[in-house]
Amino acid sequence: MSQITDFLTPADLKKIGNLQVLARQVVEGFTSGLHRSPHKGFSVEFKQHRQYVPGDEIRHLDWKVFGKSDKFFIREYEEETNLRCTILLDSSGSMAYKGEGKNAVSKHHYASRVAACLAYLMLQQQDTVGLCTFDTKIKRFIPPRSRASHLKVVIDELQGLTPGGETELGDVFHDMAPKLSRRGLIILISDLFGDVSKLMKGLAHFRHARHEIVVFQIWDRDELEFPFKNWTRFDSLESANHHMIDPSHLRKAYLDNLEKFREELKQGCNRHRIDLVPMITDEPYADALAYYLSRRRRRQG
Amino acid sequence: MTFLNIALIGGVLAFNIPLIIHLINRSRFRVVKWGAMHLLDPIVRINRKRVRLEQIILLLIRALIPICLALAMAAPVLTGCQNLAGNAKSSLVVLLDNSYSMAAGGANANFNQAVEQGSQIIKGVKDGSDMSVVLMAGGAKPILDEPTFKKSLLTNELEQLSAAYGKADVPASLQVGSSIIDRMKLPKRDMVVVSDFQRISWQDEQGPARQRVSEWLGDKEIMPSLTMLHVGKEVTDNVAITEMKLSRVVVGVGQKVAIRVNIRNFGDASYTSLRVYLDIDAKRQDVREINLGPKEESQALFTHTFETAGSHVVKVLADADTTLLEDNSYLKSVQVLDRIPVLLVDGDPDPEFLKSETGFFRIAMQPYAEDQSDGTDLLDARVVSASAFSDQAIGDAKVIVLANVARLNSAQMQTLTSFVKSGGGLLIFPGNRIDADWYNQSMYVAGTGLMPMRFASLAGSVSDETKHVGIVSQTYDHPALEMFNDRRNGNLSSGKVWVWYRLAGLAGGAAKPGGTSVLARLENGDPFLIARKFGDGNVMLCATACDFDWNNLPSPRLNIYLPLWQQVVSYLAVNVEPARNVTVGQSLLAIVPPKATKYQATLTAPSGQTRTVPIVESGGRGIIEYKQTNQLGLYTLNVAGQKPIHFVVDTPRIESDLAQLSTDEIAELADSMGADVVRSWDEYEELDKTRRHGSEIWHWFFWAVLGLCFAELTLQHWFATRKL
Repeated sequence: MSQITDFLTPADLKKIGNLQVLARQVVEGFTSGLHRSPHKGFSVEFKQHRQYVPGDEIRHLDWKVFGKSDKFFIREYEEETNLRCTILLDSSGSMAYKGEGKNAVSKHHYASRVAACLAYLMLQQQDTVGLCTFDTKIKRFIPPRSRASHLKVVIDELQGLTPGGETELGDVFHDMAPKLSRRGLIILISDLFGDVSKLMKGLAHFRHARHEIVVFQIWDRDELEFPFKNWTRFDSLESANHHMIDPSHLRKAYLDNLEKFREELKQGCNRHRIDLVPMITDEPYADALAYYLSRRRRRQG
Repeated sequence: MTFLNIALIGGVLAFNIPLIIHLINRSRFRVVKWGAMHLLDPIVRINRKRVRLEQIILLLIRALIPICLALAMAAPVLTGCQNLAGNAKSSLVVLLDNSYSMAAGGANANFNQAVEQGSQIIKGVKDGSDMSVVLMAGGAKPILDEPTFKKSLLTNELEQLSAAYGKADVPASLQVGSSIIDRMKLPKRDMVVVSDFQRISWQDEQGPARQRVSEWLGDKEIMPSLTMLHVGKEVTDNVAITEMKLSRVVVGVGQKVAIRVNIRNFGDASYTSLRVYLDIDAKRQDVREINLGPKEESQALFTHTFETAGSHVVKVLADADTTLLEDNSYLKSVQVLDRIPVLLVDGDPDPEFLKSETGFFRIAMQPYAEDQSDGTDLLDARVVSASAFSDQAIGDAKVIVLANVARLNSAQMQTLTSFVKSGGGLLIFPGNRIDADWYNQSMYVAGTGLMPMRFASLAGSVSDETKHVGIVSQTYDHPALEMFNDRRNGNLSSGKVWVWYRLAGLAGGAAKPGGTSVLARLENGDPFLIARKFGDGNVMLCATACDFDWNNLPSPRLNIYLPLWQQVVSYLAVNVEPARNVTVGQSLLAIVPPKATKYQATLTAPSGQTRTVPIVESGGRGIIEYKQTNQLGLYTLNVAGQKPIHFVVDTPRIESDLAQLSTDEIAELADSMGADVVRSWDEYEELDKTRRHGSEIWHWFFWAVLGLCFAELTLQHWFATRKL
């Protein structure tokens, strides 16, 4: 059985350890700030008193204090949440792309590490984590669990995963939605290649079920910059399709098309209040996660 | 279209390079397993045709770049467009006839017209053209060392020129012009000959040489257009003094000298009582009147006695009213000597004067003194015995005559050698007393000694005078014997020689300048009189004795002994002096005493212009040399503390025949040389416009290369970055 250290380097684990507090605060933001916990009174601890101000709910008044001091104080609690997080990992053929750099990794490799990292973080703070891998259809669905041993199950799945096949995210998400009946946090790790409108419809399905969604979009630097110069035959990773072209002649057009694609994605995610986090495979994923988590905490205020 | 560098035209094949690179790139493509095909598919589908078109355009441009570059480097010349002529720069060489005959024509002399026409041609070429003017007479030299782009520089030089520079050397001028035009760079090349086409300069004898130059011109990669511009009118009436001769090789003070001049009428006019004047040192001395019919030649004879030693100028002037005045007079520089001391070394002395070896010879040297009659002897002979010969005995003698001297001791030999080396003259006569082996060993020294040849064997017989040989009758080239070409001065072949030494082993090489030369031979082919240069002096060796013992030359009946040996001894005495009468282009050379080297010399040219010339010290003497003798006439050299030295620069008077080629002959000549004939600048200009020459268009291709490079970069950038 695989260990977390087989998957994440000690350096990454150290960085992730530093993210614990950060991650906890972020997860709190997902639950207490954005929606109500379905499990009332569970794991609620008193934090402090503060003076009543008009507008505060009367049910939170500490009547005992009022009896003793004849003053209104509000009791404040520190809530704990049992977040249900499901990581959706794209294992389609397009995720197999790997640049030519010395330390280049494939997008799928990178996405797997990001997924492992997130699962590790969640389980470390007693949250439940599930994993769903897919290409044209769902390959494997591991329901959310909070046991520490569940990490091994997740990592085993990640390690045995090879990308392949075509993808159509919108259709897959429609198939997936019934399996995620209880609302929670959905983390989608994918390159999102495909029809944007179908993708948005799929994500809207999740939103309709009141899931919180964060999308980590994985890019390779080549896909963003299209640096190819000499005659090149581009063979599709998902089909038998190929193009023999002089890339320098089409670079501008490609970049324009790319920009258009990213803009559509960005607008779609904004419309559905989905966090779209681009990640590039030549950047350390722990750093990318830390950056995202800190930015999110600042946004929560 | 022609190409200056035709070999480089092969470079156009380089157009294959971009094509090959394109095909190689296409065949050596890389494969990328690509995920984002949904981004690539639509743009490939939409732009496929456009990209292919762009690639074709870029490939075409890239293929054109090496083609244009190769064409530019091949230096193409567009030859099919006549209208370009006026706009094309050109390399122009003008061959300007500045010969003697061009001065004919009075105020509007042919030469003035030639200069005007030449200037017009130069002014007419486009700015930026390179030009040169070659003067056809006086050595066929360009007036500027290198071609120039400055028209004003050339026209100013032309205005300062004058004619009368001798005979035009047509083949040499064409050759010099061709070599100059070879060094020029422009593709339009013109050579214009501006001449009066005097028959004597363009005569048939020069045809082969001219033809060779024409063929040479034709073989050039870019053949220059040859034009003959005929200027001036033919002047047929001309009287010229064609020759002046003095009766003596060496003129002494007080000696009567006969001056004979030939006067020729080249025209059809008759001259009655034509006055011919004799001027000595610019002072009128005498006058003769002659009658001269059409095409006739006549002579005038003057006599003159020079009273003072030194350099004198003899001028004979024919007072004929012709348009070419330059050849109406004839100048000659004459060096008059006071006396020439001669030392006769007698190897067989005898108390009876005429029985001694040098008896007759002494009489021949100074006939007036011996005869005690009126007259002045130039040569002053002294006689010493062989044993008395020494440095003191030589004294101021300029010539030493060894007559039947058996041998000399080593001190005497040393004295004699140093005397000749320093410029003295030596005349050697054998005789019955000489030690031939000693002469061969000490004086011939295997060809390095004083004697020009060695004594091989004695020939002939004293006892049988019937077995004699004569001296070959011939035309003598040597100045010492030149006078015997005129039989009135004596007939050398009348002499009989019955004993002589056969001579062998020419020392120094007969063909070398200053080497040994045989002046006269006996009828059997044996050398009679031989000369050689030794150091600064001259040595002559006679094959026979100088008295009656071995020959009959002293016989008064023959009348050759005295003039022969006087001429020979005079020559030996003075020929170390450089020539004072030279032909145009030949250097003037003067030798002055060493003390004069601390001064500077001034030379006055025929134009009256005076310039300073340096005196170079060499071998204990001062040497003055002046090379710019392009002008005909009198040059006067003045050195402080010395008497003036006169030089006369002249040209063969054959140039005085002013007859020109007829129009048909000029046309025929031009045809043979592939040239065109014009009569004026206007005609030349018209001709130039109609010539099918070309315009160099390499810069078009060069700019095309730059434009294509720019277009390639711009298009490539635009194709890659434009919004679709």
